[in-house]
Amino acid sequence: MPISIEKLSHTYMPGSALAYPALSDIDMTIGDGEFLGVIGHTGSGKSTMIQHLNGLLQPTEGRVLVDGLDTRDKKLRKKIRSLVGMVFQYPEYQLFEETVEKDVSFGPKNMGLDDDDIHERAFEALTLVGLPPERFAAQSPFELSGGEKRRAALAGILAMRPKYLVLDEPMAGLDPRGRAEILSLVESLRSENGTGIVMVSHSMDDVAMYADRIAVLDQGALFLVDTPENVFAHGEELLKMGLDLPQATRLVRALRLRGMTIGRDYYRMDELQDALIRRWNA
Amino acid sequence: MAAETIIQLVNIGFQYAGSERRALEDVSLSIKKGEIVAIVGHNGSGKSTLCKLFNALLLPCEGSVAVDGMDTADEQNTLEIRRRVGMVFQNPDNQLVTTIVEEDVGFGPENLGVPPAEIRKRVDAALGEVDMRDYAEKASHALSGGQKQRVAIAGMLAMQPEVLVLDEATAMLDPKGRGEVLSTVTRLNRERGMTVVMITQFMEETLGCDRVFVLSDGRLVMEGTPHEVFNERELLEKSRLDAPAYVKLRDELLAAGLPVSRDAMDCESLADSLADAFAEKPAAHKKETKHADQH
Amino acid sequence: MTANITLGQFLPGDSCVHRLDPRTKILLMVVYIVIVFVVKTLWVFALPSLLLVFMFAMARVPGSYFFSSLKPMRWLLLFMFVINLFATSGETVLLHWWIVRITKEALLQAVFFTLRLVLLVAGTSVLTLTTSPIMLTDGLEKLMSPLRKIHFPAHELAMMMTIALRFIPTLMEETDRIQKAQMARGADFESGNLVQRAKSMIPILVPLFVSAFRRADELAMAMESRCYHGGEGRTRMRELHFHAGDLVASVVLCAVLIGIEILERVPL
Repeated sequence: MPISIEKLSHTYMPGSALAYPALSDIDMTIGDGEFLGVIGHTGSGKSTMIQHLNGLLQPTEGRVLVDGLDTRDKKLRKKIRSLVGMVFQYPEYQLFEETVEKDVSFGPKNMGLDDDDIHERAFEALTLVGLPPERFAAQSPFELSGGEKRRAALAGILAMRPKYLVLDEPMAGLDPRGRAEILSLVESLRSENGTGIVMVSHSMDDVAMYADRIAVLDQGALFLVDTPENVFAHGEELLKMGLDLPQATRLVRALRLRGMTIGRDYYRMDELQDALIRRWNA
Repeated sequence: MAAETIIQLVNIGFQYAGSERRALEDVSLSIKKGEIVAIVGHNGSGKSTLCKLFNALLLPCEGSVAVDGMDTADEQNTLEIRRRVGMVFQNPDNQLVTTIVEEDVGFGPENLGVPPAEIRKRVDAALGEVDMRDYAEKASHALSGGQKQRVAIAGMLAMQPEVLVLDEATAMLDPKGRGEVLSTVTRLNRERGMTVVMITQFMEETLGCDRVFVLSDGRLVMEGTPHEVFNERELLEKSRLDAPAYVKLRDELLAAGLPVSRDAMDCESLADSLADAFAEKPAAHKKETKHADQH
Repeated sequence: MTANITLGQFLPGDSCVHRLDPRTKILLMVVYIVIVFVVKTLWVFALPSLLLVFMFAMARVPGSYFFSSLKPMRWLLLFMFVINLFATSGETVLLHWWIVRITKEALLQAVFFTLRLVLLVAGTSVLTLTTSPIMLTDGLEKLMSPLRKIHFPAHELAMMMTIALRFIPTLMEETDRIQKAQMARGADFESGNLVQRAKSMIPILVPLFVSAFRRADELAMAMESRCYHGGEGRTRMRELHFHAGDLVASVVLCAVLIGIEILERVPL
């Protein structure tokens, strides 16, 4: 069942002089196994919105249903949080246990699972993120390198076997190699496990490459949620919002400005490359 | 009028205490006054270690570092070296010392014992240079990442340095913040002749630089203009780095026979080159068809 | 979203009290405290009370702040009033009903106690409302600086206070983030007995401490890069100077103190 966001509005500190309307009237569904990209300028409400998906924040108006469960219901929250795994920015800063295995086990333990199950999940998750348990399980998380720490933090969420994985800029601060690794891991979770992915990102190219649909937030409102093709066709509006465009899209715009007629829009560099070569050889 | 060298590293070797591997091995480079250079490398390549040698935060195990002729190993020089080589670090939060922006910018001059009236002048000027004058009395913690980094830069400018070193200063910023920092720094270089050293992982940021140094596993493996460096695709790959997307595209198109310019490295120049190539193409094609018709 | 906390609740403004040198305000606060405790007769309390009203007026602080400064204390005030009422022994019985026995002395004691507390809390709030945290630390540092001759780390203490103040909002935001991240992993901070709840804080405290140490490390590097080398030879952009207003304020406070001393000795 999908995640259903219905007329979601959220105001911080409602009723006070400092009241801040972060989200207004968001309506959206996130389908099973879908890869949804979330983009928007800083302050557009992306972080606020995703925190509603696992009940960390409650709607001021409207509601969010995860597999039919209402996030406003306190009793359902634990279940919801095992369905929707959330990875915050710089997740390595949440590591706290003595060993990597213990830290990765934190989530499953809170789910009330038995020890064998927890152990199995921890090892499975560590293998999945590329941290072989034989080597890493007994180490202190604080002895790992930056990239390894991040993967350990990710394993901590994956060990909960969530149906949906929400990631807030998972590649922030990583080098190009690290970015590629995390992205392909996330995509393989989707393609091999059917995990639904919600990824907030500032990298238009990454989002263009992997997302089935992209949600664009602008000043707390949902501007558009559609396929990458349709979203990036709104080049002017996106630029006005302070957003970037995928590099392929930018090149196409630049070429059109120089008088070249290009029939369709491109948002993936590989496709643009093929098209240009084909055009040349025609 | 040859530009003088402002930072000179000779045969630098460095190893952290308690570590087995060498962070830096036999690195020699020199940076000239007024240049804007980039130092790139993968995570763990030694670039952060390298830049801390520039202002004597670290001293080399082997070799020597000279800033404007002063040896960093000589303690007497330390304060003056640190004044001349201003450094901005990666985490915007962990550089701001005081609660209020203008107080923070004044921190450096206060340490140097500059007279109060002069500090005031320098603070105002520095904030103006980074376009943060309106924020002078605002709380430091409430600023955005890009704004915090600009305040950090202003804090350095208030000490009137000659070199500005940015140690991955844009790594934790969103695209807007990154743009703010980069344009500020480029402007300082162009308009004030400030020597700028940018440590970064993002090859796109090196496009505007005079020279690029590539570090890999503690060694300097390449040195040249951005153009020269981006053309060494194999070496970049071995160094676990990525050429900018447009450079990769350019090379693929060249390999497929499109006559794009080898100098194109960014969106605009590639678009220019492509537009020209396609514009001139039909003529060549017609010539061939005519030729074929004649036979 | 953490609310914007201004420590001590500084209210920016341009009144003459705002413009007083922080050193004056700190020292006069001591005088004020002495005033509050030196009063022994009920009707003499009128003097410090008038002084308080005067201070609020001169600081151009709205009267609502008087009540909001006392609000956190209201139950304590009531409690102490009642305690004093019944715990003090006296002779002149005013009210005797069942086991309730209220004497005149006890009533006076309770009233004095409460009045003193009110004057203290409201009076010191004038200090924090009109003096920014930086000004306070600057003032304290300047006041403590003569102690440096006996190797008292006045500058270092002031530096620590400044940095602490600067990082409080940042650390609070971080605590919030860490808490949310652990809640997303199913951590529960609300249920359980005291021991359980204390244990549940570990996933927040450990990362916070680790992060705090890392911050300290990075901040130290940044400070050294900006030529920080201790308090020797440091100047300050904002210098503290005494002005005529400081003298006037001092005279007023001292006059009140002397006035009270005199009035106390007037036989009634």
